[in-house]
Amino acid sequence: MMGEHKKEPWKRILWIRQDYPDNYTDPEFIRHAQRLRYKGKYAWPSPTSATPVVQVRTDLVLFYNKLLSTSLVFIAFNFIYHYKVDPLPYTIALTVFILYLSWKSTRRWVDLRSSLVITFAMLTLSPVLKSLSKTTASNSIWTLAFWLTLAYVGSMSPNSASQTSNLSTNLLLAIVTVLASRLNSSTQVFCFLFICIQLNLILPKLVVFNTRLYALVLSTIVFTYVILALGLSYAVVAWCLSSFYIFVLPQWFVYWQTNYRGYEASLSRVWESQRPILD
Amino acid sequence: MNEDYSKEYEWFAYYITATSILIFTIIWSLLPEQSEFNGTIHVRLFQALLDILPQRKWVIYLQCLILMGMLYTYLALITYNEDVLMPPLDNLNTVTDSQSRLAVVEEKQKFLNNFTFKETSALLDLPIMDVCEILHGDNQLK
Amino acid sequence: MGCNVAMVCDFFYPQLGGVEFHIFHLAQNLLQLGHSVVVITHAYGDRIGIRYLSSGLKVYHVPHLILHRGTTFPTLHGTFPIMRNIFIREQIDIVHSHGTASTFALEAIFHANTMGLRTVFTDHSLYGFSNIGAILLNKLLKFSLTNIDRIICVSNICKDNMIVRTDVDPAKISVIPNAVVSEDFKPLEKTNQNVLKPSKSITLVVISRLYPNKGVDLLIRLVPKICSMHSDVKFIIAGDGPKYVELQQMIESQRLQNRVNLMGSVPHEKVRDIMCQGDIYLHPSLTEAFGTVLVEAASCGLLIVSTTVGGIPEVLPEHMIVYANETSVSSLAAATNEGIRQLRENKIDTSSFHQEVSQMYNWMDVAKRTIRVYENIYQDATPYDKNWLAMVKRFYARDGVWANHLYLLSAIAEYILYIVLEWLYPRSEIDLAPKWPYDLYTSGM
Repeated sequence: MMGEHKKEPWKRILWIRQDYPDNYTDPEFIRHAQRLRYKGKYAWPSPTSATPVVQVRTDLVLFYNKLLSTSLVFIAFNFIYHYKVDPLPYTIALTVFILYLSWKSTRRWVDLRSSLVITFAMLTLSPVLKSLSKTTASNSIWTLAFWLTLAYVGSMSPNSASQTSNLSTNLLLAIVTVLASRLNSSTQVFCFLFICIQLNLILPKLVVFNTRLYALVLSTIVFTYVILALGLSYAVVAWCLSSFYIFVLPQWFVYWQTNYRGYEASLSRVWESQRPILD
Repeated sequence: MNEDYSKEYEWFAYYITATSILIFTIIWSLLPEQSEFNGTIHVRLFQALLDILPQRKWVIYLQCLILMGMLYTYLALITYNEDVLMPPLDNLNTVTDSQSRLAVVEEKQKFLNNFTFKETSALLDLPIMDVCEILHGDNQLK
Repeated sequence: MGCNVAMVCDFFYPQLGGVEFHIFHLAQNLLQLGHSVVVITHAYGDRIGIRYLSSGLKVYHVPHLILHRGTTFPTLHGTFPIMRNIFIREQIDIVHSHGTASTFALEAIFHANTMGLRTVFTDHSLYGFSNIGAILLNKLLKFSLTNIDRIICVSNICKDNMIVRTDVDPAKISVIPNAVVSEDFKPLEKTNQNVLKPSKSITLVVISRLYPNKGVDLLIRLVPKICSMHSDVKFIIAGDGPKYVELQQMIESQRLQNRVNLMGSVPHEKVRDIMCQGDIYLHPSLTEAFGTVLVEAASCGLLIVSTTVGGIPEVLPEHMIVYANETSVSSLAAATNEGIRQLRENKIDTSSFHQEVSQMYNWMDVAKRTIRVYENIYQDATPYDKNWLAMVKRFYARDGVWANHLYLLSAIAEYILYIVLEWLYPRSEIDLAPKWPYDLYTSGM
């Protein structure tokens, strides 16, 4: 007597022989996969799932400011090396400015002892840095600085809270060290070191770094310098790149996120190595 | 609202880098030589661009290097496998080695019953002379 | 009438692991059922050439440059001459490849498709999409599996993963689990069977390669916790890997030398003896496609305490295993405590485990299901499966604009290479190898 036997529903287990062929596919999973695939490739982006453009722009402006601060390093270097400007008054002015900002924001002096220790360490190291790579040819120094800058830009992380290693700081110090070997006197080396560290490491922590105001200030400084020193054509090229970065890239990011990254990213957590929770 | 998007930015950065390298290579290889621009308004702009870029013959060099490098790797790998890694025919490593565990049993019938046609749980090699006898012998297994 | 099968994988004896034993046992059972099986792998040290393993399994150890952790250097067409020669010599009908991370396996599929042979692929692991290595491997797999006939996965979650990774028709993918050899994993003969006195000490066993994705970080924090909660619990930890030193440091700093026995790596024959010394098997792994070691431990009569990642919930019934709901130390500690409590209060009888497991999983069943997959290929075969033009069309329909042209280029280069090889080394000049005379043995029985 056949035909009245109702099939048990298919279960996701391997230890018993079920009444289904080996290549039976769970229809639930097919529906799940199809739903996600359809959403990823053909549907318009839903406003709730995409990142808001404003936040992307804020994060990008942060990165842009960091880039401009890096170029400030080179501008400072050029002033000292090429135009032979005496850096000491500028250093003192900058230090006073930083101290004022830190006193205003935290209502107390910045941790004096450790900063004094570091300052004196830098003072001691300056003659060493000056003579460290004196014999290296200038061309190799410029090449080294170029590649180190690329590595520094590549290692910067957009969110300072989620940064896990000190790689970017170390690279910045490496750039400064390499460039400092071209300078003539120890005071110049010390002032250069001081200025760079203050501009790139301390200032971002004291001032809110991702405001448009800061970007505007930095941009005017850098672009004025480029126009004066290198000529209008380079400035036009740089200006084109910057405007592309600020205005076009956020939109492109959101477009890319909804159209290219939807499908697998949402499914994959199940199949990867899970994260261990160490409590 | 304050989600961490750094992973997304990282992947987007890879995407932008790959696309820009592609566009850059195309533009670089198609840019005209210096002498073709005379007396136009944009001459200094292009001059600035051309100063930054490396010499154009490197496009050809790099592409040829990659292509020929791939061909060389294929041929070198095949000949390396066949001539260097392969031992000559009279080398003992073609029939036995230091990591093999032989199933050596004195009595022939027991050997046939337990190892030649039956599965074992341990991984054992059959000695080469017995194998030759079974494969090429006079079929007198009994 | 049996078919001639070639199993291709980078990983085989003398390297010992899950994939290697799977191939070995599956091949032996297929031989028992009347098919002819040949294994193709790369040379290991001085083990080069042809070897014959027990029950007549012929293994070709092809010399090839090894790149990283036992996988050969990936050139797409470089293995074609030698593999074509082997396929013709052994009159191969079906090429069965194993393992995603094995370049030999993926190239063998490509070459077999060009030569018109049938192809089957078995996958043994899960891959995510978040790091660049997994993405590249998935792309390579997607390329190789464009023209495959059938795929076998070791668990249902592996099949889901395969559908998403490679975009193949789900009806082509079968789920056939791994198995264990029951006679090798018998529990000890106990005189007083079912009574576990409450005062007897309980031993927890962990056998794994000590890599981070096996959950060693969780283990390092779990061991002191459990040792402080129960005073009569012992640990045996076997296996070697990058995290071995951290484990040693933990033992020294917590002074647990007389309660934790760190054994280092053990040969495969000793695994059963180590397992039989224990009462509970602890498995804190963070990812797992099937978990053959769990079945082995259950077969030896141990209670399992494990996380619920990957395919683990599909493997054993509820009464044999205590689950930790999250991959966290506290969750695993709670599960371990539950397991210890169940053993102390005699809530479960582990002596029946061996019998149950031997009925659930055995290699002969796996071999029979695999043969059904092979027969299915021939039932659904059409002349357009391995037609060169049809295969090229399928390559072209894959992926995006850049990728499918790259696939086209590789496929056309492969066809040209095939024509050149047919002219340089004609088929008529390749000797056919003699087959192991099974019929002689069986007819004489």
